[in-house]
Amino acid sequence: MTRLVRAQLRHRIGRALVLLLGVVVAATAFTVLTGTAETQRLEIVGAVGKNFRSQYDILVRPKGSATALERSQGLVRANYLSGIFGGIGMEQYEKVRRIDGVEVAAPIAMIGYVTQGGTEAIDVTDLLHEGDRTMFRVERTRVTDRGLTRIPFRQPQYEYMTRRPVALGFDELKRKNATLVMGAQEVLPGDRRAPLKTSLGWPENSARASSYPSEGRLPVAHYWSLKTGWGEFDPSNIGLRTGRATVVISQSFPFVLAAVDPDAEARLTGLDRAMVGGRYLKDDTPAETSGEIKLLASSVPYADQQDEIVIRRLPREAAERVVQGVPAGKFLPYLDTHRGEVIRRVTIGAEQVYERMLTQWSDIPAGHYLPLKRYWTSGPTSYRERGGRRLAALPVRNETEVWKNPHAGDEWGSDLSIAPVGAADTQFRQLTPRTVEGTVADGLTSRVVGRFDPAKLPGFSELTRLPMETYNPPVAAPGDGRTAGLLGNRSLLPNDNVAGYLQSPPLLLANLQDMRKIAEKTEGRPAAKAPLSVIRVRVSGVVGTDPVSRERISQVARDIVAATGLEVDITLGSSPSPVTVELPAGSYGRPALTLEEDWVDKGVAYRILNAADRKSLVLFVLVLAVCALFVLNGAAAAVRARRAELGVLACLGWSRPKLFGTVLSEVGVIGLLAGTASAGLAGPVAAWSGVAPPGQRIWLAVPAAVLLALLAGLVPAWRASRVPPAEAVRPAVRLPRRARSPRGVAGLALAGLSRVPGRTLLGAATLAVAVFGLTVLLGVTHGFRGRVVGSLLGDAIVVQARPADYAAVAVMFALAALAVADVLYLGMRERDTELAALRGSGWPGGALARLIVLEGTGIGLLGALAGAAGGAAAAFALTGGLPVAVITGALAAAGVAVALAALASAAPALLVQRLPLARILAQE
Amino acid sequence: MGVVISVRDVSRAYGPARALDGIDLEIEAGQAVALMGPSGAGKSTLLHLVGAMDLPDGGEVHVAGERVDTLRRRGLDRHRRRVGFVFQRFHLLPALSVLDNVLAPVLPRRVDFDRRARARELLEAVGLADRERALPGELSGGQQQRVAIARALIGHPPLLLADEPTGNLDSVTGQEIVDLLFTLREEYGMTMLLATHNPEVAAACDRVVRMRDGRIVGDDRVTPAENVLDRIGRLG
Repeated sequence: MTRLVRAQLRHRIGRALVLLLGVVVAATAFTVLTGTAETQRLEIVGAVGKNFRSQYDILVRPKGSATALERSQGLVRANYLSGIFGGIGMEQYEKVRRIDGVEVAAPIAMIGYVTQGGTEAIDVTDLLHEGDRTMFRVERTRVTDRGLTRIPFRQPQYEYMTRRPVALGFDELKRKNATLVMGAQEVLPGDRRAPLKTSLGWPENSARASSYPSEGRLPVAHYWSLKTGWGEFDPSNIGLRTGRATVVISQSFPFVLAAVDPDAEARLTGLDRAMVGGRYLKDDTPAETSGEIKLLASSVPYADQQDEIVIRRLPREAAERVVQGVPAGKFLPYLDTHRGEVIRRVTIGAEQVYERMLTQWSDIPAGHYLPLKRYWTSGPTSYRERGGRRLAALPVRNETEVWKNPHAGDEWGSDLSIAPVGAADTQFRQLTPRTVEGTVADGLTSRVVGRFDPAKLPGFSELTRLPMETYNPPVAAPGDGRTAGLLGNRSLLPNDNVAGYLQSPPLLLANLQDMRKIAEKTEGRPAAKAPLSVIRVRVSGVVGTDPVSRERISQVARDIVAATGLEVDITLGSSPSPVTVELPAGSYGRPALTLEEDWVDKGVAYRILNAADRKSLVLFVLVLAVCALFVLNGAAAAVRARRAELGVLACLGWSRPKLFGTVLSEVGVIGLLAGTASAGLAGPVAAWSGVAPPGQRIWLAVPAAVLLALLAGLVPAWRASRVPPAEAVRPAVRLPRRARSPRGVAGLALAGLSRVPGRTLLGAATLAVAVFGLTVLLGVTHGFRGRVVGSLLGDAIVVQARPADYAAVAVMFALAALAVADVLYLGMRERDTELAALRGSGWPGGALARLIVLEGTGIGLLGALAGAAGGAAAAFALTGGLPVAVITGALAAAGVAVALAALASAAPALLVQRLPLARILAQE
Repeated sequence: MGVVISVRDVSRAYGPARALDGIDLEIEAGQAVALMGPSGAGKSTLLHLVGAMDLPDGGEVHVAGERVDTLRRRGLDRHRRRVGFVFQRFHLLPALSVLDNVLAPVLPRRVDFDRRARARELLEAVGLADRERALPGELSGGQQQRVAIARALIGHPPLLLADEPTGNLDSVTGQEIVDLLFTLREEYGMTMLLATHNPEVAAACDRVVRMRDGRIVGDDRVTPAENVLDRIGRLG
């Protein structure tokens, strides 16, 4: 038997080589490509217990922004935006946006705190003394933390009211260094002029910013003329009008200024539908060079701060001393000792002042501007873990330097960035001051162009209980009975202490273009490279916490990590999880509190692991299948060609097992040779194609090749052993059961294909497998933007098109083309006498070639249709839909297959024209 | 009558074996010529060269005034259409019906006659009008050869080449085929060149060319008065 096997391999070397080639390609491709199937996989671990779904599925934060506490406890702090001012680059954002499966990627760039003052006017006309002038003393206390914190203003505010005119021009004001009082002169009878600065012009003090509260060591003095107001200025925009005496109370608000992509924000949160005034933000054109930052403001301040105001009327002679020209040095001690009578007590809430401030910020009169010169960023709150889910917030100390005005003395004025009063209280976050460069001509100004009401955000009322909503105020509820009593069962809210425990949500929004302007003009440009703080990502096709949705999210999360290296948190299934926070006592009366915060229990954790890409492995197994079909065809052809010989051997007494063993040994030896060749080739092929070196995996080629060859040879060997000797000497080509009447060459080609249906089907099957693979990949690439996440037999799976997969499909197509060429060649060889007879009877060579090409095209069509239908069906089964791109992909794959089959028939078509007619026809 | 086939100093070798060795032969139009000789004499090779199914190593082959051995593809195709060829093994297409086998040579080209009518006429002529739907495998050897003859004649060839047309048939059937061939030759006015071992077949021809080892060793023109079989016997 061994001798026979050796003889067969030697004397039928052509067929043996074709078989060898097929197995070599298969084993090499499998060995090399399996190396590419290893991929990174993000796996969601842990049960998704709760069915919460927020507006986004993945929160992307800068690398390292999650605190150790968050990591150890599987939590995301409620105030997750707190302390993240930049860290994500625009190019990273673009990468995230482009990742397949990302429906919306909405960034937030936390720029920092800006302080803006609002004013409230208190009419005191009916409290004026009779006569020309009156002075009032206004004492204020800032009350926050539900009344627990009371910060008295260190110095009072004095208001000088006169019924006489006061003269003051703009030029004069400018010369006098922007202080109203310094240039004002009361016009006395006889056109005498009394400079107000003599008594009210209290000198500047450089130590002014060195202590809290922000108001200086010296009291503030204002004047007002019922006839001319401040002089030549129209103060109506702050609620003042001549003829009335009004005390103006100003209150400063720290706003968290953030930038968003207006379009993405609208799609993610529906912010554009929450507008209650003005217009929504839009993306400026790149040519927009204006220095004005257009802002969207929350219509609600979410601030718990109010001012308790006591207005005292000073004795009549106090005001008279001003026009008498009593010097400030003497006047101040007098004021300290003559505090007057309390004539009114007023409480001004944040909402009142805030509303007026927004109006003033929107309706900026022509020629006026609100410069953006300073802002502050803050670090996160630090905690000490107290066991369980109990934390103690750790106070920090900010140097007073952070409030120092770097612009003091320049044309912007000296007093624009005073610290809010609340900044005197205990602090929990480290502040960093930022200075915006630029002069009046090229600096930045701001204007509120629209207002949104967070309560009008779609689903706001339901979502308020959901974690990590962007515009929700942080909720710090009483954590025990004592705190509940102290807070009156209400939650703690942010206030004007910018470094305080709670950070307000973004109340001011700019677009990304304006954010870039700010980043570019900020001294040192700390956030110019990575201005974004977080990106909230909604994944398309996520409907809940089902496995498919989880798989979709995990794939996108993995891609984000792989593409950007940023930190991701999956919000699917996350839910509020109470964490108890011990807040130490404040500096102004607030006792220590025990708070309960809704931190976010992520619900699910994930791990990134190296895993096999199942789809790629399936494709590589399909490569093996195609090869098996190829080898099966070759082995079957070899057996068919030797039917007479095998029949003779059977006649000579060879048993069936022996015949079976002989044929199987032949293909086995070919498999062994091919496997050895593949083992040698795998390394160089991997290096050439840039795939990871196969390493020890090359030895996989030998068993793979032998197994493949044996499997493919099994059926032909079995058939060879079962055919009775008499049958074996019959013609190889099966005779048809009924006659055919072909109309032309095409009909004859069809008849030819049906002569050996098994072989035709083998050729078509190899193509069908390749077309199936290509249809699925093209569908995935173009119909599903590179990825399909679906359910197959209840299992959530991901199909992602990768270059290696296309390489596998290319190998399949190459083998399929080889198989089709082989099928046609074998058909030609077995029918050579018929073809020679046709040629001899006058058939042109071109007609015979057409016959072969048509047969090839027929095989191609059969395989293409089956493969495309199968591929489309697989896509449908996976996703429940068939986008046009998938159908187009299927048609394209089918087209490739038919064209390839036609191309594969070229060699047999050439050969058929060169049949040695005389020799063939003289045979037998 | 003009010369329709002219073979001049033609040689053909297959490896070391010389199938033809400087053959010269001329055949006039309308003649029925038998090539006789033992196996390996070169009869089939000569037929193949005349039918342009093979090319000589040397010499010239002219058919109907056209040199065949230098023809290129289109010329060869045209030439083959002018020649009807009947093979010893019939070489019918097993998947096609009798009628379609007859039609097969004209399947890939346009013809100026009704091909089906012509095929049926030929089947009528060879006596198989009632078997046109049958498959070759359902016919006897003689019937298959009749189909092959009809197929050879579908294109109105002026020249019919037959390679051992009775070689695979029993003597009675062989005689029937010979009769049929000569009847058709009379009917269609063809020149006929047959390779045969069979004296009965040769006896029916106008001329008998005897070959051996690739050479012509005798060329007998038979007159009607002669007893052809006697002459063949004498010459052999």
